[in-house]
Amino acid sequence: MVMFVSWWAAGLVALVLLFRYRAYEVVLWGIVIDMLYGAPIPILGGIPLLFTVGSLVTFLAVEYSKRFLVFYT
Amino acid sequence: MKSFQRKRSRSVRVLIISAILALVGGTVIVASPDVRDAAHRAMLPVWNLSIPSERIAGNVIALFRTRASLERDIEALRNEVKQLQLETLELPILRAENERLQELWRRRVYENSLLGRVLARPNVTPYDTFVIDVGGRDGVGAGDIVLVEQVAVGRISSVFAKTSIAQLFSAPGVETNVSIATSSLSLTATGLGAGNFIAEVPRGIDIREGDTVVLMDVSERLFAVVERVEAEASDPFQTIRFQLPVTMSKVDFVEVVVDGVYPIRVETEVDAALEPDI
Repeated sequence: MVMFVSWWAAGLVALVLLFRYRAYEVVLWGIVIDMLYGAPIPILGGIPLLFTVGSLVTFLAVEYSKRFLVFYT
Repeated sequence: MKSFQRKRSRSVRVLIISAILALVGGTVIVASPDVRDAAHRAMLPVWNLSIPSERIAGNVIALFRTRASLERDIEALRNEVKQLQLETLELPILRAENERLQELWRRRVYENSLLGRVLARPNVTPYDTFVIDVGGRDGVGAGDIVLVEQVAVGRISSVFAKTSIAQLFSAPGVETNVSIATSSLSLTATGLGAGNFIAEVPRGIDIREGDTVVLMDVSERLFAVVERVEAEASDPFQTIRFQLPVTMSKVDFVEVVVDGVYPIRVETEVDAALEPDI
């Protein structure tokens, strides 16, 4: 999906997957995006790791938030 | 209860260790030029995919044709007719592309420039970048200027053997030295993404909507047009917003102005491994 649709559409699907499963593939998605399209950006000091870091942080945040959601008890 | 808490803290530890390993692994992978080059080579066939799906389906069906000779012949002829029909449909598209390429080639400003086809555009790539199908083998180098319709839109940020990534000047946070054509005022524009820029100038400077902006480091050609000037009474500065005059989502070809000798042969270990034995 990363190859054919907009990155934000793939991101939405990834977010849904994260809430449904413990989707480690989302981190892999971030790494693949950076590998294919990464360019140095000032926010991360010129390192093209925005989506790797972002997907990791999102993964951890969703896993942490699941503890507090009634749906997962 | 204790065993549950122990189990939970172990699960958290595993999660944290996995996250650290993933971050380190991801950094190593993304920072490695050879790995990225291999990924781009693997993606090239996907990006270049332009064969109509019916033709693919027709070729697959042909593999399963029956043994009876008459039915086999009929199936083969049917597929051949389908292919010819599809090729005929493609002709106007190819003709239009050919005319467009010839027009772009005639309108080149720089002699030492290459035409590159866009494989992925900013609406697909999240970094405000283009992926183009010319790379080190064609003479492209990091820092080369990328033009669209003779407007400088970015620079090459990463070069691989057959592809390269062009980062737009409008990528978020990227600063570019520009000048307002009417006043020769030089200022620093900060990219906001999707071809948009923002800059601040002192209030006394007369800048109006529609004023042209040129790129200082490259040439005195059109770079952008002032869209809006915002000024508040209490603010000593006024904010200028301007935009590239090109619709990034509709760009099919770009021109790369190469420096140095053309073509430049870039030998990499990956190239040597994949070279066919002739």
